[in-house]
Amino acid sequence: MKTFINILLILFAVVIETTLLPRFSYSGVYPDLILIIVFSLIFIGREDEAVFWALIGGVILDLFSPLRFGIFTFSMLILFLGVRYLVKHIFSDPSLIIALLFFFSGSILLNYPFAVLTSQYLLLLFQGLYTLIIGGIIFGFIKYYLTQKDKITI
Amino acid sequence: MSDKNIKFIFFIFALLIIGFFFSSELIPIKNFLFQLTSPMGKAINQSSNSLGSFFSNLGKIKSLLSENNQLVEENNQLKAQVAQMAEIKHENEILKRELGFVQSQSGYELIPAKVVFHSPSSFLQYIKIDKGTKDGVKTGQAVLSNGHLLGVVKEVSNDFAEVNLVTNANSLIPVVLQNSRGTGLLAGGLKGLMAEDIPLDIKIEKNENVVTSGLGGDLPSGIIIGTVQETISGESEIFQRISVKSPIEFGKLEFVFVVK
Repeated sequence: MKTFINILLILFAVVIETTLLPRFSYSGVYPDLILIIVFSLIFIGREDEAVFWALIGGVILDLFSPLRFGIFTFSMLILFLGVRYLVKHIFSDPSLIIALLFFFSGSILLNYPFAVLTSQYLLLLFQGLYTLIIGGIIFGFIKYYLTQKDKITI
Repeated sequence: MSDKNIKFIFFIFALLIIGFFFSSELIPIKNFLFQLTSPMGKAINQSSNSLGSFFSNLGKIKSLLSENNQLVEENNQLKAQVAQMAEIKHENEILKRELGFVQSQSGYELIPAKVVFHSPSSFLQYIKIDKGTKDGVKTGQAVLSNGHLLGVVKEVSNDFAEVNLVTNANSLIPVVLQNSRGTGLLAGGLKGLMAEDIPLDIKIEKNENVVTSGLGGDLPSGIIIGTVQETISGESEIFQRISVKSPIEFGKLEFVFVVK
């Protein structure tokens, strides 16, 4: 049941990323919502949910994309493994600044193949900055909400 | 990481490899997913549009009254112009017939469509619409919004179509400047819409219309894309480059029209 609810939530997040977020685009750029959620889940130690969001989110994004299947899923998987390693071995319990830097660099890495395809490298910086700002807000919200939920469960 | 997660990663990884080599076989799955999520997408598109316009209108109440008066005045002038134009059109048709010209088709047959999704990455610049082959949509057809060219149909399935926006960095559309008659190629990208490869001897006017030239035969000629904003090419360049302003808000599209 929990898996099914998670799949529905991922589907909803992808729909939000492809319908609502483009309305708040700046210079045609809008933030990477799935990436923000995956990173936030890693930062608060919910690794199992993070890997699920990364992979199922990646698969759904690939199905929404006109490109060859697998680009989003593969990028999400690599980013998940990389960030998980860094958080586990170097930045355990990362501060907000570190989290923001992760959002910034993660967004750049995720979109790098598309920037190569369209030769728009400067746009990567905008993309990273926008994801950093929105990521900070969403991370704060997820951290607060899930911590409160955990407290209630205990 | 638990064994369960490692197995899950391997399962998705295997799926990924299979999916990569058989991407075209995934169309039915994609269609099923779009069918499943399109009502949600349409609802979000519609509600966010009305919510956004409600809040933006609140701040504009003061200026709306004077704008309304101006529009009434403009409307009256336009009515008079329309009446004159109807007369000129009638006269033009008679003259054409006299001279033996075949009457060209001025109006397009349009298929109205709703925007369902935008691309999952800002870099891809495409939209998904809720009309497909069963509605008569075909690859290469022009898509309009507010009478302006928005993009070109790239891929069509039975119920949906993918539209490559003119803002896409890989889109190239042959255009002509309506007054100066300079031809060029319109490209999208980070800096906005740019018309390139316009010959140096063309005297470009600011705010003149940029329309499709119809060269190559992919798109009908005469579809307006936007207006000339400024010339941005340097003196040493062998062609002129201009920035083009489109009135379309590409992030806030709700309804579009496919030219049949």
